[in-house]
Amino acid sequence: MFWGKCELRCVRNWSVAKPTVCSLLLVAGACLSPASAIALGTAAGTTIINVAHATYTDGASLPQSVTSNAVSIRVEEIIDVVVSTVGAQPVAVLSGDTGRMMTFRVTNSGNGPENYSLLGNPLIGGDQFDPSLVRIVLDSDGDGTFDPLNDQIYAPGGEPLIGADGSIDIFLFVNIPGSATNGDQGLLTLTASATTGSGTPGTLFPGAGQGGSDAILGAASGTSSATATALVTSDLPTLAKSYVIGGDGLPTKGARITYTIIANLGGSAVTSPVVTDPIPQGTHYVPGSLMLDGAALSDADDSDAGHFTGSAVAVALPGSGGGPQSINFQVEIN
Amino acid sequence: MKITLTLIAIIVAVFGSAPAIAAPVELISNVFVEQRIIAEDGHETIKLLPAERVIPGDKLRFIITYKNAGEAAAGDFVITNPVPESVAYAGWDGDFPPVVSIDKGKSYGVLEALLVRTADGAERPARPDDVTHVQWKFANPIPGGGAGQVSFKAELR
Repeated sequence: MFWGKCELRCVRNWSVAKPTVCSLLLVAGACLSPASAIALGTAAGTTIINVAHATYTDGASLPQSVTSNAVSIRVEEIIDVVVSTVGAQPVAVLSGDTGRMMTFRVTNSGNGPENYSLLGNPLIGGDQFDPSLVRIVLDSDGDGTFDPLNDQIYAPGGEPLIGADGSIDIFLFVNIPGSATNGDQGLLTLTASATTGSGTPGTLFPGAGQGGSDAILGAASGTSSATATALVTSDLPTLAKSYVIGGDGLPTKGARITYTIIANLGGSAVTSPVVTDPIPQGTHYVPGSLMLDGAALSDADDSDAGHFTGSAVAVALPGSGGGPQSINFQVEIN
Repeated sequence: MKITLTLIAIIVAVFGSAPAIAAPVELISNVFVEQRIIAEDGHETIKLLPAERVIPGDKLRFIITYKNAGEAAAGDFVITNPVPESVAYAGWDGDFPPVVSIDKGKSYGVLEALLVRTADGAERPARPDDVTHVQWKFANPIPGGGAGQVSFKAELR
C-alpha cells in the first residue's frame, strides 16, 4: 500500500528515462505514511526518512548526481494526560443531596492511543465535608451529557481508550452528607493514569508504544488530577407551587383553580429572574387573574412585571436578595 | 518486454555506476536531536545526539557532509534536502545560508522573500514551517579532495 502509492506518484511525475531521480524521490521522505499528517504531534510509530541529494558537473563538464545515505528516525510514543473539570466551579449543592453529578474531562495529550485508569477520591483535606462517591460513569457515547442508557459505569478492566489528542468526559456521582451546612465545601478529585505506566517524566517503556515504538512518560508523568468543589448553598432560589380548586373543590368542567407560586431568591446572586409557568393542558387561563404579592398585573406584555404569553404566565421578579414573593393566577377546567 | 527490461538495465548501469568513476562526490546525511544538559551550577549546554528515537517537539539538526574524493573539481555543486513531512524547518545553521522552497522544490528563494497564497486568495509571508526543501548552491567548484558541511535546524511536528 505504502510503496504502491509512491510508485504511482513516481510514474506520473517523472519519465521512465529518469529512473535514478525517481528512486531518489522514493526514499527522500516525500512518501511518508498518512498518519504523519495529524494536526497535533506526529503520531507515535511514524518512521521519518531523510535523504539529501546533490548535482554537479564533473571534470568533463558532464552533469552528475549523488544521493546520500537514508537516515531513518522512529517517532516514539509520548504518554501525557490532562484532567480538568467541566462547567462552573464550585458546584452548588444542598445538604443531604443524593446523586449529584460532577463532570471531569480526561484528555490524551500524547501522540498515541492510551488506556487510562480512573480514581475518584473524595477523602482529601482542606474542606469541611467529604462527599461520598457513588459511582464513576464514562461518557461512552461522547455527547458530553450523561445518558444512563448509553454511558457505561466505570470499573477496573474497563479503562477507557483515548486516541491521541482525544478526550472523554467522566461523570462522578456523589452524595452530600446531611451534616454539611451552608457555606461548607467538599472536594472531589479525579485522577487518570496511563495503564502503560506512570512515574518520573522520561521513564521509558520499551516496545510499549503504538506501532512497536517505545513509550516515554511526558512532563505530566503519565498521570493527572483535577479537583471539583461542592459548595453547600442553602439559599438557592426556590419555587413552591400550590393550588386550590374553587367551588365544591372538585376538578370538574368549569371549575376554577387558583395557583400560588412562592418564589424565594434568598441571598443568591440572581440576575433578572423570571418565573414562567405554562397553563396546564385541559385548562385555560382566566384573563386578568395574574397577581404579584396581591397586586393585579395586566395580561399585556407592558411596563408591569407580568403578562400572559398565550400559553403561559411570566412574571419578572426584582433582582437578588428578595424575600418570598407570591404569584397568583387562575385557570378554568375545559 | 524483454527488450524493455534490458534497456532499463542499461540505463541503470549508466546512471548508477558512471558517477563513481567520473567524479566521486560523497554525500552523508546525519540527523541529530538536541539534548539540553543543565549542570549543577545551572550552566546549560546543548548536546547533539544521533536522532534514533524522537518525540514531537524535539529539536533536530540536519547535517549534510560532502566530500569530493576525486581529483577533478565538481562544478555547479548544489545540495538539496527535502524536508520530511513530519518535520518543521526552523532555520539554517552554520555559515552558509541556503535557499528554500515552499512548493515542493519547484522554485527556491530566501525565506523572507517567499509568499504563501492562502485559501481565500490572499498572500502572507512564508513561515519556516512552510518550507518543503532546503538547497545550498555553491558559488565555487568543490576542488578535488575538498569537503565541508551544511546544516539546518528543525523541530519534529
